[in-house]
Amino acid sequence: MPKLSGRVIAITGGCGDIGMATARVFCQEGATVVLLDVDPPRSSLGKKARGASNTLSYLPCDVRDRASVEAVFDRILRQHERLDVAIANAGVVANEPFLEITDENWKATLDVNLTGAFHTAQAAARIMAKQKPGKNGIRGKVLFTGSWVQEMPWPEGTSYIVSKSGIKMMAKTMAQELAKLKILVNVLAPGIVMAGLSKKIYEANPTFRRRVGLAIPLGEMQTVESVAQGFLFLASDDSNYMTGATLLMDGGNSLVRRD
Amino acid sequence: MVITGGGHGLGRAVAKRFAQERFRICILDIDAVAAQEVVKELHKQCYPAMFAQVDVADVNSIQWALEACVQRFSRIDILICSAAVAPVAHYLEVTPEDWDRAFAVNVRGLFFCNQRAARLMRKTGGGRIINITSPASYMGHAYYAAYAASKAAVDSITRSGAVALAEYNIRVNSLAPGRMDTKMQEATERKWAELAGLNYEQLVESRTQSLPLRRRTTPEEIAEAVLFLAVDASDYMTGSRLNISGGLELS
Repeated sequence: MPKLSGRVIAITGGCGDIGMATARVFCQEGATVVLLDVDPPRSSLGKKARGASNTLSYLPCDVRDRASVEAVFDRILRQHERLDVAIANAGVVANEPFLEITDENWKATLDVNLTGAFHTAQAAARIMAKQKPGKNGIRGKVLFTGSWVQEMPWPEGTSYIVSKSGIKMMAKTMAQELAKLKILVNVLAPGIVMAGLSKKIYEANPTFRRRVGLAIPLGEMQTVESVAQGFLFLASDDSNYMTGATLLMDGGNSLVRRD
Repeated sequence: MVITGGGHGLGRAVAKRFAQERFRICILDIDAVAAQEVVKELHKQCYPAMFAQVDVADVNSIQWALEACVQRFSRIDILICSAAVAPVAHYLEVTPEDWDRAFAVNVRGLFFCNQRAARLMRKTGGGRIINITSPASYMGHAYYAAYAASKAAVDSITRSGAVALAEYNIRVNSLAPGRMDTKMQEATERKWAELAGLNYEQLVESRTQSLPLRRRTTPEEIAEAVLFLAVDASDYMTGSRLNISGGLELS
């Protein structure tokens, strides 16, 4: 039985590798998915991508801009009449040694990853708070893409790590305040994913490759499909008693293997 | 799939859920009557299942039971360690016997189940271990000191196992269920109410209303999350702890 039949789901950063993989799985499980992104999808949203539900669409959205976020969520609500799950997934990475971090890097990273996630989460939660609970007794789920580094430093990653760490705490405060409204809030913390920037660095930089191989107990980078499966668990009714928590799927990165 | 404590409560619900997913079930429980009852029920629905009477505090009995399982089902893909005891006593009154029993079952028993099953999984190319831990391991609690400490040890064993066994393609994760209505939960709360001079019904009510989601969970609901940790969808997870507690850690 499909796990997300009839659910309306919005994903920011939806046109990136993780967003697209997640949307594909969600559509196969019967969901209606709206991709939100500053850039349009690179591949067509044809029948294959739309899966069983046949409903996958794209709306331009800049998460840094509150008005842009509110406008797309308004539109989703008008078109689909409810919002069951929102995934604040948009993110950027720009690693620099701490002594060299520029204000531009700091601001650009925090603006997208943390403030953008806040705009998304708040706009989504405001819609959910006003709608009737679904058959499962839940008004909605707000999910975030965190990272294993939300608990663990990684060299030269200060701005990114601080943004992800901030997301983790935002999810907890939201979960605490919104539980009485039956809005659940959780984080998925992936490991080093073979996608976007990490993929480029992996292909170009042997030092990074070596470090990655040593850091991951399971020995290989994470696939976007694995991240999508994690989001499916969090979005589905299989996790209806879970809130304020992190689903850590990092191949064992956080275990700090030193032997 | 091998499950310790499969005769009662959470373990029983998990065994039934996994049977529906076509896992062959091997129940280890100190209570042979309860374990047999579950097996009979599964057999009635034509699910393959067996049980072995095991006190996990006795390493030899673990070894014997796991080998019996391999003999019958040829391999162990999944081990779930759900067997636990929860002595209730005020911190100032905990006896060495309480402490030792909690650690013999919850820590020593769990570790050797993990180790002995992992030795067998290594031979067949890998597997999954899921340890049941508790929100108590993060909390301070005047009446559950031994139980809470034993569950903190479970978290540590999970992390060490994840690192040690990754190269054998064995994943080790844990799951912390929130408050649910099982016999063990009821027994501990009754004892606590009695010791603290509280009304049992009021205690249960306040411990339910204080949860952010304002409801308790069920073994069946938790079983869905245990299943997630056993299937391909969670293949990239090891050394993780999954909190399914209705926000208990936040309150």
